[in-house]
Amino acid sequence: MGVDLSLVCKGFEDPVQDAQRCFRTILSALSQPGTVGCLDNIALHQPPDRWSKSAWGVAMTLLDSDTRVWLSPSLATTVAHASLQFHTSCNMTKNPAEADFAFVGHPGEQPDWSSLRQGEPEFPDLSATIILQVPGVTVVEPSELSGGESPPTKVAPNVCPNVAPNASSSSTLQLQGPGIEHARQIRLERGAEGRWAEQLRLALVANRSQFPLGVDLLMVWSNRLCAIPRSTRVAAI
Amino acid sequence: MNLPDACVHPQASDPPVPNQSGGIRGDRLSLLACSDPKVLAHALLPWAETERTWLRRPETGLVMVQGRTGGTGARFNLGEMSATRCTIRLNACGSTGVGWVSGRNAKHAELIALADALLQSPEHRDAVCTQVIEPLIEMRHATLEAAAALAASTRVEFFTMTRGE
Repeated sequence: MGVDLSLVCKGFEDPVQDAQRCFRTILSALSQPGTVGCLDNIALHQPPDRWSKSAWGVAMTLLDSDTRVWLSPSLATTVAHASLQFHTSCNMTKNPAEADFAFVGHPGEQPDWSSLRQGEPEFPDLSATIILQVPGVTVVEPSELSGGESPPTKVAPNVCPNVAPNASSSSTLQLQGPGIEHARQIRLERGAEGRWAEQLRLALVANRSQFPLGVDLLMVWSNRLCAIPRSTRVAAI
Repeated sequence: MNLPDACVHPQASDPPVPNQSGGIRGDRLSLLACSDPKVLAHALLPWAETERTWLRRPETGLVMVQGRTGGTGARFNLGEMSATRCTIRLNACGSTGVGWVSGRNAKHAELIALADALLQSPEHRDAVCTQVIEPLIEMRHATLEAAAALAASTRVEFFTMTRGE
């Protein structure tokens, strides 16, 4: 296996500690769907072009020689290939149906979710995880939720304070299920790609319908991430 | 270990892409890995402050050593040995060097990676060859000769004189 070392870019500054902090953040995000995790405390320098810091951190943390990885066209640069193989020894695949992890540069590049590995009834864990770079996600504070009773705010570790979302250029999803006390709402920022939020909702609903099979979604942007695992029920607001 | 002349006198045709397995670069890395870390550190003193970036900090792991019976038989796993590796990039010229060493001497691996990176930098290559690689080759030859001489002194000649009939 030859890796052109002149292309390789840096991974974690402190591989053991940073990978553990990053893993904890991913775990928290997956176990509390609809919360936003921060990788602020992790030193990540110069990810490859078009890779967000959090996508790069997730790759450095979760990939190893036992995982097969698919990169969407905008992420599949020679630098990314060389760096991933150098730091993680992961196996690259050109076929999304074979991948354990699918890294997607922007919502328009998503493969058909049903073509990804969905797991098997005996082994639902043999499924793919999608790491999707998005323009942004904000959590709607419980006080903003319409309706009388609002669940008490619990600030989980590694959860960021929210920035006031711009409702006019985003669309809102309501999340329910394991890890969510009552309901959580997140706003997907529309960005340059218009209707991706609606398409994502349809994909999530179809994904949920075949539970316990299905794929898990990690949305990443900047140095933040937000997870919607297959156990979460999604509805439009 | 026989070191080719090219190890001493770098050729213009040295591959610029550091992907080659074995060859001149492999011989040099082998020489560096077999060298005494203290000697290597002393020889590399002029470059000790070279600005560098870690692509991979020294890490120690296990390597499966494989063998072949008689050198030709089927491959089998002989056992595991510890090895330490690291990768360095020089800030000034961007050349990347790797260092692998048996055992757990992280400083030795770093010195090897530094020497490897310098050897790929056109600016430093010649100086490192004369000040580091050549002395190491001489020392290596001297060590091998001393070992051979030591072994030779214990050699027993077996010969049979013809018995009277």
